[in-house]
Amino acid sequence: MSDRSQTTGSLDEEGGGQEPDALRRKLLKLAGAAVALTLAPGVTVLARDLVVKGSGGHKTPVRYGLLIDANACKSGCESCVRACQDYNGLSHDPGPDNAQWIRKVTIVNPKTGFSRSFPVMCQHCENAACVDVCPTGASFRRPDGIVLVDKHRCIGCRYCLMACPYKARSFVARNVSDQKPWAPRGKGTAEGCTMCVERVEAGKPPACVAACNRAGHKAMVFGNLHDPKSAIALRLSEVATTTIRADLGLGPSVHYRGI
Amino acid sequence: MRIRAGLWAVLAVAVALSGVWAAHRGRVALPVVARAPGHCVLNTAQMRRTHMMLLRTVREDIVRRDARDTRFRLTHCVACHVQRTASGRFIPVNAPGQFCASCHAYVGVRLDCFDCHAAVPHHAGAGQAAGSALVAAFRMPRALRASKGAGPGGGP
Amino acid sequence: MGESGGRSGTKVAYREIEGQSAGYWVAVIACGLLAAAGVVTALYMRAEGHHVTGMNNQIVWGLPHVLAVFLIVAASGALNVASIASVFGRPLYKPLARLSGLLAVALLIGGLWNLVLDLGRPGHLLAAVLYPNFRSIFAWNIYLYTGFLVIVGFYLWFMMERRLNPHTHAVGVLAFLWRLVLTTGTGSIFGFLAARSAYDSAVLAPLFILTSFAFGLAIFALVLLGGFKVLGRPVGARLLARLKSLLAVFVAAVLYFVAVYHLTNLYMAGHRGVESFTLVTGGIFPVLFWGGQIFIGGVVPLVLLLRPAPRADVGALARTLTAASAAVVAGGLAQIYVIIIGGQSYPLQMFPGLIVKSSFYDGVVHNYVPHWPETVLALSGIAIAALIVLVAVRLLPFLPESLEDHVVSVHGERTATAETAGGQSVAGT
Repeated sequence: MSDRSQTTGSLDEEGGGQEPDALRRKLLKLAGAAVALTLAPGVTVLARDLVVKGSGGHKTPVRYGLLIDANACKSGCESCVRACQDYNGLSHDPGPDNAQWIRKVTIVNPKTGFSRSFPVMCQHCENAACVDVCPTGASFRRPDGIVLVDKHRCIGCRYCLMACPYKARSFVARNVSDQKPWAPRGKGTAEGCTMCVERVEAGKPPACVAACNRAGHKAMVFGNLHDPKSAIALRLSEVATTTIRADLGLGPSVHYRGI
Repeated sequence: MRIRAGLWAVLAVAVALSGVWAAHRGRVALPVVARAPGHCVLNTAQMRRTHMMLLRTVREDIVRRDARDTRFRLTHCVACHVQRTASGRFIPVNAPGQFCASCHAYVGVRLDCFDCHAAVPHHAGAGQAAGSALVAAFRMPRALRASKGAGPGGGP
Repeated sequence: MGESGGRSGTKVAYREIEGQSAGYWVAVIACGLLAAAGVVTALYMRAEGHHVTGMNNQIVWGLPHVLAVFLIVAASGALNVASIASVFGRPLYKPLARLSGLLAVALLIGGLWNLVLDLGRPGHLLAAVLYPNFRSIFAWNIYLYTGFLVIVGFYLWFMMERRLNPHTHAVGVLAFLWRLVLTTGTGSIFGFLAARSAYDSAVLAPLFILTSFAFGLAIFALVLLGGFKVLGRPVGARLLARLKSLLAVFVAAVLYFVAVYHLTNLYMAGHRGVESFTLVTGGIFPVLFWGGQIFIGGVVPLVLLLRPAPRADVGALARTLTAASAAVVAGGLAQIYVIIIGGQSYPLQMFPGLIVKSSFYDGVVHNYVPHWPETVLALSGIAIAALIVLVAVRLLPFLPESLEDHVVSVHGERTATAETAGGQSVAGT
């Protein structure tokens, strides 16, 4: 204890020896340099995107998408939701921390009484907010336009849940043990609609689309948006469609008719 | 000084206790590896040394580069190496003593594949037929086996 | 012993605290236990999953994030005192520079502690280094935060090592610029989220910088005054008066930016929904906004700080500054809570102007009730910051022996009168 009684004094720091005006000028110069250095990489990344994405035309031969006809979708029908839950091994119980990769949304215009019911899932955006904000690139967009979570990289920060305007991402908050072999999902990672990527690769439509067709509503069309002869592309060229929150400029792959 | 002595005492007690604990638990049992039907995609020695590298490479290919035409898939590992109970139900490969878990326990490497991936094949109620069909479907092609010099040659 | 320094020739002697008193050990053990409880809770959350917390798919970020953002914002602000001394050449603040740097490091570690322990898969954190996505503010922040720790570490070293003193100014400038970028990055976590009505504003980044000035100085003042009172080391009226007016300027500036933020939002028709939620209809959030952020965090400190007071009354000055700082901290916590929790509580506007219903809580105002795990975790971030300060001031000479008027100087001018606010008592209680 006795060693503590020795005081350790030291010289006060040096500096501040210049005139305030000179200091201020120097500081401004330094600030400019620091701002330039900080912003330069970010600006470069954004500029590259502007050049590439602004060039028009299709970069890729395949971009999978959906067309959902809200006029044909039956209110109260949950076939697509059930099919998704069954195929991907999700719970049927809609609790606050249970995942809902697809959900039926009902909108009502309070002024006119206009009402529609239709499914909403991950919109597989071209400029996906979840992909932009993900610090590790776990949220990513495949060359065929499907947006997925690479759970091997996901750190569970939930920034993508904050960023998605469609509430399409969920966080797995419990231990999961009964996964389907084709739909891995686990505690502590983010997840969302995969557009049934294994089915799509096997040449089949997503489970929700198949279920809607089986139920006889035929309100969902799946296909390659970049193939002008595909059913979805032909339909999109015929009827007026929109995307949800088109104003955000995210470029969703899921198109809606009748909303 | 008293503090330092106290810290040393705590450390000594901790070391002693950990020794007692380890002795009490005894040695970890040698892994029990049940032979799977058919042939693996690589020979046993190669699989032992490189399965984690294969899985790691392949997961990048499958998840991020949509290259699914690969033989080295975790679902195939599970399909072949899963065991059944007497009543015919699958036992998860990460359950204690099972194919993945017994080796990983022995070498003390945490196994987290099955935090997310299914630890049993899908065909829960199906009999042997489904299993052998999977094995046949994912059997390593002759050409690859030859080039790797693996396996005891010739498929079933 | 204390050596003289500074161009004014005033003496500033620094000394470690004795750290033998029962009070010191109680504080250290309490902070250590709370930090350990935070780790245990994090392991529990990791084993059970986040369903044991009040956070879910609606309220995505909860109490740990409120405290984390508060601590990180305050960390960059706490460095300001050192910056004023070595960047802007104000010798009055020089004796405070070491504590300022220490607090900055401790608060930042406390904030990061909360963020990392709340992750769903902290074991995957290496992926952020191996595969950084530089379109993500988070990826930038990882470098900004670690860089800040390194730079302030060097800054402290240069301040304490006599041979390196001449370079302190350069490192100080770097640290100052870095902290400006860092706070911009923290503010941008929210400012870049176009999806959420409450966050969709570039004003958030400068607002965060101003709030960091106020939070950082308030915490600094609380630690300084509390510490010096316990240690029996004297503080002079001159320094207190300066800190007091500085804090008043910062608090007023925060109020100004808050007003700009809400006025621009009110002007844009599309944002009126979220504004009326925050300001009038949103249940707890208008209460926290008006009562916590504006009244306790803004009006009360301004009244306290700007009230005319005898400049020589050290005791009154210290009491005023302590009360005002505590009010700023309380109001600041309310402010961050309103931004983070309130911003998520207000439903996402998927179909602006329409009534939206679903089984996934679309169009519903979300309630958040913190459960014990995240509360313990959130508090453990404060505990680890306090623990770092407690241990550091005992090991290294961070605190000046005295801050009386004849010790601190203003532009080389030495004060003629030196009020005695207590004897030059030996440190330790």
